[in-house]
Amino acid sequence: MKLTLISLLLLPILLLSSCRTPVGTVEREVPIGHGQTVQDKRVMYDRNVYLEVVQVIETEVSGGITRIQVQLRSTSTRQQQINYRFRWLDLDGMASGAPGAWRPQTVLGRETIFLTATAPSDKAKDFILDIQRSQR
Amino acid sequence: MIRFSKFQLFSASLLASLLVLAGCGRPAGYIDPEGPQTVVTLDSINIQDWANAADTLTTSLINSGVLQQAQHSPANMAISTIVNGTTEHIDTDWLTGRIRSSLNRSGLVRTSTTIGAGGRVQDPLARQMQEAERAATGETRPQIRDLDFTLSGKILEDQVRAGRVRQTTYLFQLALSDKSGFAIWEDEVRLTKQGTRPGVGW
Repeated sequence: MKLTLISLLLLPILLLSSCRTPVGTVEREVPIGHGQTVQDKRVMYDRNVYLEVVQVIETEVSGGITRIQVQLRSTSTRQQQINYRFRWLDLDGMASGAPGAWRPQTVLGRETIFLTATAPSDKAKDFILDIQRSQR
Repeated sequence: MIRFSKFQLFSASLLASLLVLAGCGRPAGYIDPEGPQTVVTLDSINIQDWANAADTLTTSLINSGVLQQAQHSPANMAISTIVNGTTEHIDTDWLTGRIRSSLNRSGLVRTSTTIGAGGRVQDPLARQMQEAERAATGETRPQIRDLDFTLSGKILEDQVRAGRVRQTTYLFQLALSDKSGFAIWEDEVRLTKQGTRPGVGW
C-alpha cells in the first residue's frame, strides 16, 4: 500500500521531467558575422513566456528595405509554444502597412531562436515585435 | 412520496446544468483573421496558412535581391501557373493575391493584370484599354516582351496517420523565371499541422 502511494506520487514527477528537453549548442568561440546592433526596449507582461532577448540586429536588403533579426534564448528547460508578429512604423512613427500575420513558433528548452522580418517597403524603418504564449 | 438522497439531488442538478451548457453556443463575433484565435483544421488550408506561406515566400524573394536584376525598375512580373496538387478544391489567389500586393507595396515589382498563364486575364477592361492604347500608338511589339519575370508554383499535400494522431503537411513551392526561361529564385514553405482524433465520435 505504501509502495503504491509512493509510486503514484512519483509518477507525475517522472512524467514532467521527461518534458524537459533542453537543447545544447556548439558554435564558434568568436563569431565571424557581426550585424548592426539595434538598441531595444523590452516589455514582457506574460511571466509564462520564458524568453530573453539576446540581440537585435538590422540590415538592408534590395532597394533599401530594412530587415530585422531578433535573437531570443529560452530560459526554461521545457518546450514552449509562442506566437509572434512584427509591426512596422515609418520615419514619422506611423504604422506602415498592415501588421504581419501571427506566426506560431516552437521553442525547445534552452534553445536560441532567430525571429526575422523584412519591412513591407523602404519607408518602414522602425519595428515592434509582439510575442505571446500560445493558447494551443 | 419518493425521497431522494442529497447525493442523488446533487447529481441530477449537475447533469441538468451540463446538458444546458452543452446546448448553449457562443454568440458570433469578429476575430483577427491573422490572429492566433483562428480555427486550425487538419483537412484544409486555413486562412492563416495562406498568410504565413505568402509572407514567408515574399520575404524570401525580396531578401534574395534578384528583383533588382530586372531590366525595369520596378520589375515587371506576371503570375503564371500555380498548380494545385492537393486533394481539395482551392483558389490559388489566396496565395498569389497576397504575394502580388506585398510585392507591389514594396515598390520592387509591378504585376501585370493583363497577362496571365493560358490567356487568363485578371482585369479584362484593363486589357481592352491596353489594346486600344497600342492600336492608337501603332505599337506592334509583343506585350509579353515587357515582362522581366514570371512567377509559377505548386501546392502539395501530404497526410499521414499513426493511431489516433493525424498529421497534414502542405508544401508551397514557388519559382521566379527570367526571360531566358531559367528560375533565378526558388523557395518552398512547409506547414505541418498535427492533431488527435477524439476517442469517441469523429
